[in-house]
Amino acid sequence: MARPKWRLIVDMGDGYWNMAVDEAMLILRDRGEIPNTIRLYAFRPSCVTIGYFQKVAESVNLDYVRQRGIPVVRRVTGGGSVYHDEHGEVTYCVVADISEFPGSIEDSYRRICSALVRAVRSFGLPAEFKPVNDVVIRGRKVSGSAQARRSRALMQHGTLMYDTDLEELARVLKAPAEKLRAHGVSSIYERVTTLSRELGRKVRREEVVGALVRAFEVELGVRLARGSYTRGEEELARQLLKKYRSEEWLYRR
Amino acid sequence: MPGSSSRSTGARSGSTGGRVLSASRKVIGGKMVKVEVELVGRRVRRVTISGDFFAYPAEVIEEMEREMAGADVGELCSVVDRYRGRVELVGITLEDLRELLRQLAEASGA
Repeated sequence: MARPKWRLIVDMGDGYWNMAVDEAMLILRDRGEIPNTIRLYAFRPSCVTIGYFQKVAESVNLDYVRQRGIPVVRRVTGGGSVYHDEHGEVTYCVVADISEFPGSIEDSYRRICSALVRAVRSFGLPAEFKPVNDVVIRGRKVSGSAQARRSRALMQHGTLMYDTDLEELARVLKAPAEKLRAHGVSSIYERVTTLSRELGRKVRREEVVGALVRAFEVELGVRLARGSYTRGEEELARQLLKKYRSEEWLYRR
Repeated sequence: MPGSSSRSTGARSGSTGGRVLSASRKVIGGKMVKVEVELVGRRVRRVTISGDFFAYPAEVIEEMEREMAGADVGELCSVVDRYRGRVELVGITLEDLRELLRQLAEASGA
């Protein structure tokens, strides 16, 4: 049986645009107006995203990011704060009909993250899924994901760090003391890693994108075909931009 | 799901003259959750539930916060109970929220 064809989009944008596009795709997939899609993208410039329920001041070193001019954007998905290094991470986004992911919400996290595990293993590294939403190499986090749902569609996005500046990440993000203690570490820096660090060589972005495309095709049993946004997606994303740029959205809790 | 690995509570003055009590926990194998309750006497002025957990649908958390505003601090657990079956939490449970609210009611002297 032929594998179903899903749309593949590879692009980049600033944090506001990236979050607006992901939400626009969720809304339009829910209405059945766009196909199941995998988007692989970069943040330009580097950016911090925070989870839907997080308090900005408790998740991000605001003084530091203001001084460095690093944008901070609240996501529509839960989860924790993420530093998206322009030169060191690929963000993926899966937008699909919920019926493609039978089982529990946790099952859908596991299934989508299995593609990330496969992609990292293709570099010869011992990646493992760590529920609820992480992928780790030798206990250190290399990827975190977050999912939002509407009645008929889900959208899961997440980061895969291949060469993120981890010292900068540790300066930018704040982790609650309870969380660090629970992981048995004293700083974020000790808890995360990148493909480059693990391999002892500089991994290129193209390698990671290629590995992710192949891994998603295998794990989801689909064929990815390059496509582009519909006019409806671009229009809705432009409307959503206002929300993502607003202080009201960023400081809502 | 195991319980919390660590917890903390605190108190400060709120911007609108009430006192703000907070309690948080990191669920083992799960996520962080923090509850802040702004009180005037025993009356709840505002509740904020924050953290890196997931809720489906997400809007239910805000609905719960709105429903808690105006209640007596001792009644907040019963508000949580009304949401059983209406929200799916990932990384925390409604029991975690109840436990934090119970600690806050205790800390308030209610």
